[in-house]
Amino acid sequence: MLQCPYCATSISFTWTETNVKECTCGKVLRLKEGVLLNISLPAAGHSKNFIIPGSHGQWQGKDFTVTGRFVTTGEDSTFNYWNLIFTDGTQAYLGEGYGFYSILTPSTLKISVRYDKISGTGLNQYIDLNEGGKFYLIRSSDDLDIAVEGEIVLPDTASNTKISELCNPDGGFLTVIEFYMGITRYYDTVFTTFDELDFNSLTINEKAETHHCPKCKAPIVLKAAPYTVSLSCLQCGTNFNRSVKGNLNQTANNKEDFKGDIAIGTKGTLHGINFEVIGYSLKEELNPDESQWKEYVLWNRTHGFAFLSEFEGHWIYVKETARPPVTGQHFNNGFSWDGQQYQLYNAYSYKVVSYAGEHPYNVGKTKRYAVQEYIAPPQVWTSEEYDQSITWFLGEHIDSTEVYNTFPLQQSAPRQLGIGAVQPIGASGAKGFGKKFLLALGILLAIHIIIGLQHKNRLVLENVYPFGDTVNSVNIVSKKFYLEKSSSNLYFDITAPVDNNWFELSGSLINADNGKEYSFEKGVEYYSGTSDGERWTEGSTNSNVYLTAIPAGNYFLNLTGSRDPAGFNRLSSFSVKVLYDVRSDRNLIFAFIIFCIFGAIQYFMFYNKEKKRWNNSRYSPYNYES
Amino acid sequence: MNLNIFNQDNKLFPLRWIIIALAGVAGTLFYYDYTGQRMFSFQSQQSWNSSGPGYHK
Repeated sequence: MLQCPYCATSISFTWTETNVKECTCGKVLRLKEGVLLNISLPAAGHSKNFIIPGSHGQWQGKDFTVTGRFVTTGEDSTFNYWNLIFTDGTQAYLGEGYGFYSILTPSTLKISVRYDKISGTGLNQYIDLNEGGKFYLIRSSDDLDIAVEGEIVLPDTASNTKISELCNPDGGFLTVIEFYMGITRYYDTVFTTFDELDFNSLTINEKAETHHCPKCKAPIVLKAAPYTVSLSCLQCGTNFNRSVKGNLNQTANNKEDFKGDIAIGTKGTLHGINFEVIGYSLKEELNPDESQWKEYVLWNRTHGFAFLSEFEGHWIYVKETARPPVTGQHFNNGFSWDGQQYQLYNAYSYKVVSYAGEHPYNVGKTKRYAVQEYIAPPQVWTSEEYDQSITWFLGEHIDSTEVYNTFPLQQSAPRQLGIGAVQPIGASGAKGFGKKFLLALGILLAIHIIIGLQHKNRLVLENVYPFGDTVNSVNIVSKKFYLEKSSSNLYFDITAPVDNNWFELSGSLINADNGKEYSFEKGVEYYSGTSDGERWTEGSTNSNVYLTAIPAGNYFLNLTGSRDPAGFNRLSSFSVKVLYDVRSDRNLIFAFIIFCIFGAIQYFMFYNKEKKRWNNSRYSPYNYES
Repeated sequence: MNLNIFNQDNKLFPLRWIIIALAGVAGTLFYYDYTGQRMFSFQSQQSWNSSGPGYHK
């Protein structure tokens, strides 16, 4: 039986895989070669987390039990690594914090690169991890403190722990931890979601942390602790920073009075997540434009943070993403993601002019953030680079009406001006518009072909008619024929071998049942000659004419062909071919033309609005001088 | 299922006007093709009915 060397409490390990346990006396003990040693790590205390030692869940079809955690704390951040023991005896860590979830398992790659070489690599520079291939550094945190709760696996003694996160363009993600100086551990990291972990019997309470304002003594309730960094007293407006140990340190007061349009405490559901507004701020770009925008902090216990950003009445829903959309340094002016081309729209640093409520970052440090925005409306990727970390946020335009319906405003809505940075502006701006337009043309073609197949194309009359020597006209009366469709056409193909003269066919289609007549006249003329040594021709020996919208019934044709009585080459004969219910391809051509005109108008409107959108950007591809 | 393309939540919302235009043009094409008529045809087809008003002495 093992005993705590400090309080003599009996210690037993529930799991054969674990080697570190928190004693009831608060010491954290490590089992090494059958002996319990104090490893000088503090106990994390019984967490206010909704995940607790003893929680059960499932990952990729395997059941696991949470046995404990180690928690890392840096200057402005805290993150949990829950120790999971699966039913097959394997072990993994569940990285959890800020609404992110990832499973860390010891990497199967043979990597022998030391930690200092990795952390010394610049952001977005690649590191060759031998067998692991090329990875890019996206975050590096040094001098992290570790505290332990429950019973866990800790491969090394921990002191001044360092953690780096790397990813490769193929979707691979590595967490590199130096628990103790000189020993580097690699963990394959797979991101997941709270729902996918299928936790059972969890009690998700809003376990708020309560303080009292040192100035006005009013209670300050922190919903998002321990992630809250900057906050204010909602009673007296005094600003504070919360230390990682949970103490409030007063900071500079707001430079301007500012009241958000949405009140702190307002609750609503966006994208299927129940959020509460826990803070808002007024931010200003640090450049000659000095553009100001408002940002609202949304909080959900399991899904973490999201932000609503409002500029000139245009709203964007923003959420941090675990994986960057692009790696390397080749994306300065844009990059491709999910089939869309994102273009650099804005690059700036900013300051927080005024804020209230809780914020998961230190508002006093934002001047050091290098921010870049890449847009492909209705989405925007925003990168925030600071020291040794680059954080990516994916934003999407959200209609102001949806915002106001979800989070009722406490004052009048901001006036909408111009075109928003990622406001959708019509079909031609939509994803794959070109393909959809071609599809629409294909639909028109299909309609035309399908109906064309139904046409009878039936021969009604075909004959050659000679002129007598002494007469200049021929009269023809056809046999009676039946036209069966409720509405269709007759096509007349007239051929007359005229040569420097003319021919005219006048005809009547007569309904033998009711006497209704449909008549036409059509000329055929052809002239040729030589002028100034050049041969010219005009007209044709063939012509055609349609009678349309002919209802069903018994009909006969009365045709009269007349030739030019003058001239040397008098016409000797002419031929007429009459077809019933023929397809007219010109209908399709006109349909195409009308639809293309509409598409062109749409595109022209899109172009002008797009130009207007980019008017706010220093990286506009449009020329505004003309 | 949201079938209203004028609702912003509908995936086809950005394409709403092009869909309306397509429906209009396709409907017109169908009508002209089906009834054997020709679009924008201004030729001088005349019709009259011998059983209409008027009489012979």
